[in-house]
Amino acid sequence: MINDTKGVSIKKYLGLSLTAVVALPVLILGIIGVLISANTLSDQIKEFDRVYLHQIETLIEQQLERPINGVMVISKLIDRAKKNNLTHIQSGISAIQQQHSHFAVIQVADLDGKVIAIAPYDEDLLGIDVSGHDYFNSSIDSNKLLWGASFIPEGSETPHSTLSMRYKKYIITAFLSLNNIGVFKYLSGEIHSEIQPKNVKIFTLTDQKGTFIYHSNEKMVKTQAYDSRYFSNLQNDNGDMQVENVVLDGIEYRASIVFLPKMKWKVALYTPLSEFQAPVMRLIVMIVVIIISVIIMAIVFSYFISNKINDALNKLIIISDAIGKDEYEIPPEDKNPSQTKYIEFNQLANSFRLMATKVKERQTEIKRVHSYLSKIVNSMPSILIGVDTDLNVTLWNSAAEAAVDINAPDVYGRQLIDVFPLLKHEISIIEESKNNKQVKYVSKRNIFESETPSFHDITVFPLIADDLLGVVIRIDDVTDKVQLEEMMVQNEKMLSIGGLAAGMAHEINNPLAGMMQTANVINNRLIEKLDLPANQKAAEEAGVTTEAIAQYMRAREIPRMIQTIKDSGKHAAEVVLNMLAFARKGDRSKSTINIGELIYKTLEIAATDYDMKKEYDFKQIKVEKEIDAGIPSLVCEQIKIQQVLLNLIRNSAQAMQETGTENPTIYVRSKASADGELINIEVEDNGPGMDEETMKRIFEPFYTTKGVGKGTGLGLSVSYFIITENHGGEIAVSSQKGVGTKFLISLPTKGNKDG
Amino acid sequence: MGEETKKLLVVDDEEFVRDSFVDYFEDCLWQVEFSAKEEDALDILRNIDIDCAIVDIRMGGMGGDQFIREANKINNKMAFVICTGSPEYEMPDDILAMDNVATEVFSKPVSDLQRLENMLSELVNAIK
Repeated sequence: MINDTKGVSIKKYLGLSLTAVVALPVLILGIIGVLISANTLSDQIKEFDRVYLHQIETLIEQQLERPINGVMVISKLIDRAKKNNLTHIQSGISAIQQQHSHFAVIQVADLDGKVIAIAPYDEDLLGIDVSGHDYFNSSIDSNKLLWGASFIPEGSETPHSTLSMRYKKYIITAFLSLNNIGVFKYLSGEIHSEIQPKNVKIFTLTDQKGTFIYHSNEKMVKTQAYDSRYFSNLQNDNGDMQVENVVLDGIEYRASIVFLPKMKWKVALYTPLSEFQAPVMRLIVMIVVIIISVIIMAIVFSYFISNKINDALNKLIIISDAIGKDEYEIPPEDKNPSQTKYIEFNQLANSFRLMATKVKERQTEIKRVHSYLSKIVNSMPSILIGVDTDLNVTLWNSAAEAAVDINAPDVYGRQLIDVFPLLKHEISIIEESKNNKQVKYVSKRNIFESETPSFHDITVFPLIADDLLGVVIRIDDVTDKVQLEEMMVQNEKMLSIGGLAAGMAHEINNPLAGMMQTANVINNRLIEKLDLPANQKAAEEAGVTTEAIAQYMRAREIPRMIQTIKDSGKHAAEVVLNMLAFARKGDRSKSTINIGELIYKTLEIAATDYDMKKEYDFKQIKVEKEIDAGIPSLVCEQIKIQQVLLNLIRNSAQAMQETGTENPTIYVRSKASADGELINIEVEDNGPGMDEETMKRIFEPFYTTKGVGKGTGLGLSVSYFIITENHGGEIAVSSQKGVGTKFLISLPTKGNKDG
Repeated sequence: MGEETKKLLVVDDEEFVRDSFVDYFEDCLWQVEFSAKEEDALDILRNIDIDCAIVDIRMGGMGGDQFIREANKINNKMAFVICTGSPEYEMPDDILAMDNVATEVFSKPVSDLQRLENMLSELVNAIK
């Protein structure tokens, strides 16, 4: 698997994004929810406070109706008392005080402040001056019923308040025990506990001075003190509920305050802000918990999903990795490891499988083509070397390996000149080809500098491709071709000689005939046949005897001279005849012969031929024959082959005769090759041999070692021509100076194919 | 000399060659007729009973081969020996088939006239 891949893993990405997708809306909704619910809660509490406080207000006002009515009853009582009958008033108020438990004390004073009646009756208190009291002073100038400040009288623990009113010449004052009024019982009772289950809210009732008439904490009532903290910012007193925030004992409260105008009392309900925040906090906590759980769920879910996807992906990755490693064998669908429950992945897997098949096909094709191409390159007989622009080797075929005995892997990237120094003279041409983008040729170079000449054509061609720079050097061994060309030139030369000879032959032969045949007649008339009647008759008429003529002729060496004419003519005729051999290419009279018989016959002719010549005695030459009995028959032009053999034997004999070889011997051997395709003939002597220069040139036309007049210079070239051209065979010579010479002829048994 | 003198016809357009044949065979006591032209030679044959002829091939007229065919019509008891300066020459099949024509073609120059004479004698004797 390829591990160095950059990027985010699907698993991580999926987890993150899924979490974000789920958690973000929850978070946003949560925030909106918190804001809304915080507001709603605040309004709810506010509304609750309003209702509650107005309920309390109404209750208080209702409850205070009775004391007020009580006071009004007293005023009626005073009206009915005739002539200010104090006893009457006293008994009246006592009755009222007894009837109404909330009236702790009822007192009636005159305008001077002197108490004239009091209930419960107390003699000590009658006649005392109360003009110093606030309730008295404030009521004297008013006709209204006035509520006084609250207080806790001696001997009591509960707050009291005064309700005073001037009526005619009297000031009526009722001392109310507030705890005996129903509302206070109520406040301390059920509703209070209803609204205050947790006892976190503070409920207060304060008089006009701000003194606590009622406080959730009863101790506060007993302080009889005004606490400005409870009404930090009270603005109006119009009966609407006011809301403000206050801090009590380090705790922030939301205060809802309702002013009671009749009594100038204030009813207040203090709710800790924490009561507002707690639900919001609970909501926030809930939202956070939801978000966290959602995130966890998303992570878990995405983990599972991405695990599944990952598994599927991993399977695909395994397949593609396999393809990357050239392993194309993907199991069939039913056993397919890439089979998942997801349609998309299965489609992908199918695509992969298809791709793998295609890639395999393509790979196979590429491999096949590559191998085919490299086989072509390596099968080429040419040396093929590729170099880049820096002349570093990039291609090195088998022929190149063989040529310098360095294997391909060892040369790649190395300098051409280092691995193939034989091309040192061609570097400039390679550079030229590279720079000018031209194909360059070098012909017939002997780059291997071998002793036996070998020729190579060098072709340098630049690569014609935009993305691949460099040149390719092709080196072809053309030694055979060059030799063939030379041979062709040689043959052309010979054929042109032949063509010339054919035209000349008749023209030369006729004058030669005139010369030689006439010489023959002269010989008859002067030397050989002096006794012919015509000769004798002519001698007689001339007055000489034929004996005298004969004597004269011998004295003047006329026979030798005539013989010279005849020999010279014969020589000339031979030259013409030999030259004609080149003119005849095709065979006209090929027949199937036994080479053994031909050799015997040829040797016989040679013997007589040389006997006649008298220049050398063929009988002195020993002839050793080794003719294989089972030699197959040969299709050839008998006379031509005979001519060749005769020529070789004659050359040997002449050479040995001239150099005075001791025990001159000619060996003639013949046998078939192992496969029977060729017949080999050897003509060997123990004569003077020849040097290398002679050996090289011996088959050239007009090359001769014999003295002028003794050889035509055509003999061996004609032999060569007859063997190679007319019969498709081979002729070669090996010789060592002073040891001997051996000619080797090999002829195909089935004759020359084009003959 | 009990033998009857043989009559030879030399047909050759080369004067010196023709002369050498004539000289040689006259020395050897042959009766020799000669002609440079084939037509003239045919006339001779019509007049004289010739035993044999030496015939050149490349001549100005009908040529040696045709001459032999014509001559054979006139005298089918005479022998012919072809003697040519063309080394390329090959005898046509009809002439090769004729008994009275020597199978060996003598190439000019004839180095050994004696051998030619011998062959002619043999041929003439064989026919008679």
